[in-house]
Amino acid sequence: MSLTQLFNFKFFVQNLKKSKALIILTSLLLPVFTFLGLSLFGQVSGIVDFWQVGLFNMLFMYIIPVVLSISLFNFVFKKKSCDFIMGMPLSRKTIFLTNTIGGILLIVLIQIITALLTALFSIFASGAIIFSSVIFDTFLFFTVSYIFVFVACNLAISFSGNIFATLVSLLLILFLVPFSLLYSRIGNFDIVSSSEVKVDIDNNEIDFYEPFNFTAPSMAFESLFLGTYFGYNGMSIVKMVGLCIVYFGLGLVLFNRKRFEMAEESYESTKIHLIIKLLTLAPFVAFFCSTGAYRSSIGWLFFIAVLATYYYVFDLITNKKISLKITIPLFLVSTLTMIALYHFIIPKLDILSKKSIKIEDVKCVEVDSIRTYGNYYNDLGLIIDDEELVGDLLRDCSEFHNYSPYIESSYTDFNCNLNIELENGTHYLVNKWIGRSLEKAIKKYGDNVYQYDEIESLPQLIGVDLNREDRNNIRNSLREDLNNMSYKNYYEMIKSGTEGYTLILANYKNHKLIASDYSYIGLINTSKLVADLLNKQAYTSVYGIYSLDIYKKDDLQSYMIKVNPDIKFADLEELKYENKIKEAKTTNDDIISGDNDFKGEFDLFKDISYDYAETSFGVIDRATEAISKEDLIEFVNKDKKAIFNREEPYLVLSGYGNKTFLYYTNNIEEFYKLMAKTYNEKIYPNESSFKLNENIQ
Amino acid sequence: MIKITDLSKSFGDKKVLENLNCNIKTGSIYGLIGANGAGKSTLLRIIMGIFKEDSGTIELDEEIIKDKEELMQKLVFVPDDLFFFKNYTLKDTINFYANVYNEFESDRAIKFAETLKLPLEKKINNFSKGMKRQAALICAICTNADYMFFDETFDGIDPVVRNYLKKIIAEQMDKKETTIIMTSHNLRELEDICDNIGLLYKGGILFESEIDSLKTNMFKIQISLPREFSDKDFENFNVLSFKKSGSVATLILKGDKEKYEKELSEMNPIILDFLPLTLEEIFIYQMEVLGYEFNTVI
Repeated sequence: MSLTQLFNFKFFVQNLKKSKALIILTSLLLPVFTFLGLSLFGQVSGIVDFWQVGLFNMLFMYIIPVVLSISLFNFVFKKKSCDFIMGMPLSRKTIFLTNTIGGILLIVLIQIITALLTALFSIFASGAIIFSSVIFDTFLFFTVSYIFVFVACNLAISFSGNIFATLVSLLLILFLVPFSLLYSRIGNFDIVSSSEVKVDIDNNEIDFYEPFNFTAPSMAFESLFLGTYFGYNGMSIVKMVGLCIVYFGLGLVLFNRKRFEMAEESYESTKIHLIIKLLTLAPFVAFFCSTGAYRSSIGWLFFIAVLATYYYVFDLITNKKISLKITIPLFLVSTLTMIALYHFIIPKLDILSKKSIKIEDVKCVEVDSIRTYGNYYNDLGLIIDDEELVGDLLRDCSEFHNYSPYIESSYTDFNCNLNIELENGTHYLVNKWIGRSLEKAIKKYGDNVYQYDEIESLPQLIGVDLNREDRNNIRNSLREDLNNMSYKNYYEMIKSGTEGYTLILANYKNHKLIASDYSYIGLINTSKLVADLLNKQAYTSVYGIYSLDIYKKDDLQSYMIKVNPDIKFADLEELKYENKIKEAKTTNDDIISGDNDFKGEFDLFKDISYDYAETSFGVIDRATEAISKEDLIEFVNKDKKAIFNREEPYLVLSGYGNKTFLYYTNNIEEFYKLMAKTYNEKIYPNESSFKLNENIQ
Repeated sequence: MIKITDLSKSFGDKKVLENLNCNIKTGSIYGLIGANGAGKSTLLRIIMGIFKEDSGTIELDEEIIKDKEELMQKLVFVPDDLFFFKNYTLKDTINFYANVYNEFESDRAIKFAETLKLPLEKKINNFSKGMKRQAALICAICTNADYMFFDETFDGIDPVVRNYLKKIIAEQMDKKETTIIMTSHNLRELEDICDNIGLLYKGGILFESEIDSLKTNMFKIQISLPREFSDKDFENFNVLSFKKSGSVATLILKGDKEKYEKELSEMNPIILDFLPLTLEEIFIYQMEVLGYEFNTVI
């Protein structure tokens, strides 16, 4: 076989040229939207995960490869164009191979452009941090996914006669098997809607399901309906590559045999048309079985009415004519067979992915990481090997789902990644919400020293450019702060963290983003270091506001460092703040308070809390605000005019316990001195356990 | 040479071609006629590999075509229902042909287009029906393919342009030994250009002949004798048709013209005129001989 039989470049160029507008438009969609999406995510979170880089990739996975495939092969849908193209001196093999290879090259090109744009964004956008491995994983995963959908669509085209028939065939190729497997596990649609998977814990045995590792298009739908995590999946890539090879070969054979006389009609024969039509009944039948409609005569009547309508509508859509009356009895018999299949056989297939663990076979459980109230998981690494505690912990897994880390749970439960090790050395990684049993474990193992091991992680301060030295300093400082900490203290620290994180330690390992957010409680060295960095970079900040919050567990004490470098932005936000102030009410303590859930944290500065919930930060001229409420607020630095210049970068320190105070300064040293003074002079009835003055000299 | 053996093709329950056998000589223009739905276009599409035959074989120069690109380079097809890429100009289309046909002559195609006053830069989809067909025909001719298949060749083309196109088809045949198969349901359209003609009826070639021999073998006479006469007076002749109006009879005879002329002269006719037969008339009478009503065949 000559190279031109594999790929006829001239034909490909001509074929592209005929649909150039559509193809160019489709090809631009992904890079443009990805770039816009990154701009958005970069602003909000700073660290951009796989799904954020790949969000538009995921959405366009259902559009771009399909449009590309249909554009390249659109001649097969019209008799006239079939005459023209198939009458050219090009073998069917050449046409199929050229379009397939060319389409794949185009997809790779689109993905390369998208990856390069993402990389450029990560370099030039100071607010966003995107690991190069995330970009590569996204590129690899979605390139394979797009090629998979493209090749599947080519296969659908090779046996379909018009666009509707092609789309129906494509949906069946992509989703019929995953749909049936999901149905086997879920069993009924009530569970689908609540995005949970039922798990039975029967005495000393835990049943759970292994992930399906579907192909990307099905995985995205699984994620949509079940709330499962959509991310890089190596097994899925292997599956897609394997299926691509099979679909490609099958498509080539079918295209070689294709009868182009069926152009504009649905399929080559009535038999194939009927089989496809029956297979498309799967969702109806599944719904019928799962809702229990078959138990009532009204259910049956409704189902028959739907089927009767569908029977003709399908023909009308795919064939533009209603025919096949002769097939009605066969259709009915086959539908009943499908009902039996979905009612009796498919639900039993869940056994294929069901796993059982006997609690006595568990050697130990490592609570690998834990997510409290922040956005990310904090490393924990607590190994529980006590037989009773292991049993408690596993039984505490009342809904043992290894799927979704985002399922609502009780307030006291935290989402944990568990690594269960069996006596025989087998490991299972599961994600669980745990509460009571974890507290028990912390009591037992709490005095052990927490092992900090985040050397490879990349510290990130949102909106702040950190150089290598800064990062090293933060890592060292964190190590110093964390290394001597007991599990108990560490656990308390991350438990009392807030969503208003400041410092994130991020890493992308084994195709997963691992990030911890720290709120500085107990991080004495790190707090100081971060404050220095913030102050230094006041003008370089994109969004210009940072807070350093120090809390005590029971009686809130809040210190905020705020850097305001951007007056224009502040002007805009000021209006917003003013509006909120009007809605606020005055408490008995004469402290302005809002009615948000974080009462106490941001009583005076509730605009921060409010803005955070709105996913944007506000910058407010607090000096003016404070002066207008002088009777309510004690200014620590009364002589503010002498030492505070609002035109320069400045720090605002606020605190409130019995009485609110504000402190403004352009000088970091003064800030430290004040903090030291604050604690030493015991302004607040509940003294902080953190002796900052020892570190600020 | 194209050799078609036992070719059959059905669409569902409808048999379009049934055990069709046909040989088309190299370097000839073969006219394929038949009523609408007789299977002319289907036959061409099967030869081109667009449609798949149910059974039978098609050999091109003793080789079965079956998706062989080197053989496909020898074929070009202009279908009855023309297709051009949306937004393509004639220049783009010429470029497309040049990219897929190894021997395509772009300059010649442009020259033809200029002669025919076909705008090169205008989108073909805005052309009139006749202009589209002219564009398709000149592109096909310039491929220099050995075998050209033209379905409803001159449909929608005015007589002046039709003559010009016939001229360039003739030139092409002089230039290269080209075999052309033309289909039409209009016999008059084919009679002055085809060497051979075949009539497709009920899935097979009902009648096939060289046009020259048909024309020299059959002739029409008008005769009036100095006495009363009837068809019995011509029993010794191979009379395909006899019609008498008053004292003048019109006969269609098949056979040796010189011999008949001599024998008829011996009858001392008052009038004896030999008139030319159109191809359509030849077919009408030939079909009647074969027992078919011409109007039902074409």
